[in-house]
Amino acid sequence: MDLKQSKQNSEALLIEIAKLRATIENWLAERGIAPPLQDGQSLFLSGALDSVSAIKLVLILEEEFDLSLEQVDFRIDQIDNWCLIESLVRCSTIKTSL
Amino acid sequence: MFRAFYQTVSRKHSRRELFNKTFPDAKMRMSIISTVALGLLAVGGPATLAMACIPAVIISVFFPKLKIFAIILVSIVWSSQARVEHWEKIQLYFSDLIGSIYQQKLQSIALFLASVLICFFYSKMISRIQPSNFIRRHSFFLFVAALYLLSFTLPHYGQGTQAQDTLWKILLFTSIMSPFLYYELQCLGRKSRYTGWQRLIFFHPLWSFNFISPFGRGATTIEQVENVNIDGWEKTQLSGLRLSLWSTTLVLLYWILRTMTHSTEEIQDIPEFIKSFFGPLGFDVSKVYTLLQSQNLRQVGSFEIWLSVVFHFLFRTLRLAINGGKCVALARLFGFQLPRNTYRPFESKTFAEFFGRYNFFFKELLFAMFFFPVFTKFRIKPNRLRLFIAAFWAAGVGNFFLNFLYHYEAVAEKGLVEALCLYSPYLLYCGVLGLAIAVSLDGSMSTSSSETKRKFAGFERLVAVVRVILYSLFFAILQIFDVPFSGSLSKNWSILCGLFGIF
Repeated sequence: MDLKQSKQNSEALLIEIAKLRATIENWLAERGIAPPLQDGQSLFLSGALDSVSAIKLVLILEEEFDLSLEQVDFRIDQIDNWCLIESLVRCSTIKTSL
Repeated sequence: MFRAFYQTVSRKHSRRELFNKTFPDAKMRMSIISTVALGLLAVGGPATLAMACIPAVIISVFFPKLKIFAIILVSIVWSSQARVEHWEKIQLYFSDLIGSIYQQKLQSIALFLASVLICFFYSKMISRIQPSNFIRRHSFFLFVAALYLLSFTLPHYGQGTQAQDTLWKILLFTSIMSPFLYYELQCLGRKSRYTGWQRLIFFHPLWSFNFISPFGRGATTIEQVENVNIDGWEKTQLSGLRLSLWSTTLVLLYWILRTMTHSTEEIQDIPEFIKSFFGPLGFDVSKVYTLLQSQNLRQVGSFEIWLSVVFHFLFRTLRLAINGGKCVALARLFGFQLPRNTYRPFESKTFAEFFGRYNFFFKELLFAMFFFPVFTKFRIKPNRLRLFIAAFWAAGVGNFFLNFLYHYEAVAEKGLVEALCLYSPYLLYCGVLGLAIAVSLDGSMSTSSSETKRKFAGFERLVAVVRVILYSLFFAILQIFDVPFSGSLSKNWSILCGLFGIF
């Protein structure tokens, strides 16, 4: 993979991550929590989002980011805030590219 | 309308400002809020708990380092209360041995501590094993399997030696505590500001031996909703105060409804001032409450059975909302900003949402313990089928498993086979509930939150009301079978037929 392609891939990933953040902010807004989403803000454990949103998020992570959660002994608190979600996505992308 | 709203808000603001001016010290304000909230929580609940909680919360506010001790103290007081006032089945075992209530309390505290220590040392032992190891990955279910195997080797309760009976009691306590052990095992190996013995507080909630308890979800989980700074803590306490007020209102409503629909013998625990204002309406649902013991349903009649079923559901929902509200309010006073257990179930759009709003923390436990492991492990296509399987596994199989574990005294008394037979109505309940949730979860996925929040108008509103009535009635009827080991399947079935006039 040349440098240009790698740069394009990382830009595409950044766009996807921004889209995901916007989606979560949208879910929060629908439940009356105004954006912006704080990086450490608890999403599921605090009750800000429900389990249905958690399932939707898992499906997005699997389908959009090609994340295979069966290998990581998934727990809901692994995606409880934006920092955790972002690091999960980045780690997975790095592993895939390697 | 906007002006009225503005005036209300500004008045509220000025009230708050006045309170802040009168008591400029935040810690003093928090002490007052806690005292008022706990005074409210004492209504319809054990007063001893409130008395223990007031100094405990105030100590936590003024000396945050002692918060852990305060929570453990309250847990111990509550465990002794729970034994004597609420948990009659296991209490029977104590009364066999020692008559005095005081000694019962001491024994229950000792058994409670023994069970907590078993769970604590088990988790410590497991934490030394590599995360990828089979034993570490399945540590909870291995623990439960060991518990089962050990219990199978013992004679029925009361038929063995005193040591064997004591072992039974410890097993029963430990089986009830096992969901908290599950959460703790999930948190192993993760960074937390709670270390070592401090993690003991997560093995038992501040309140009852019940799955509704939000506490006990593990240190690394619960600390994410903990407000440690004074400002945040005060806000959390205020939300706790509001919830205490709401719970107390529900207690009064529960008392009024009970007074109106029960005979005088059944309402002896209700205060006189309620009884003097609200007399019985002329029908007694307490009689039909005991339909399972009734020999001839024809004498009762369809209408009374319907009344019984509806009121049973209503009282159950109220009790759940009251107890869950009290638990969460208490947690908020200690600075844990937890969501409510029962939150507007009658605003649900789907049955799955209804169940989630009805008993939030139990649903969370089912999701964590059963739904997500299956959902993420097996990537079956289409997603709809994958959702269905995982939801049925959680709401059906998982629900049965957890309730069987919770009512394990049936195995102590009658042995495994007979206990399972007595559990057959509940098995049917779990099966139907699991199917209903699995089917409706797909609908929940396609319903956005904005639709749930949206106000309906005209015909849409009527449809929404009818839908909620149907969900509620379905759940109310289903609860005929939600009677672990207290009835036979044929009796439950005849009550269901009796609803429709078939005797």
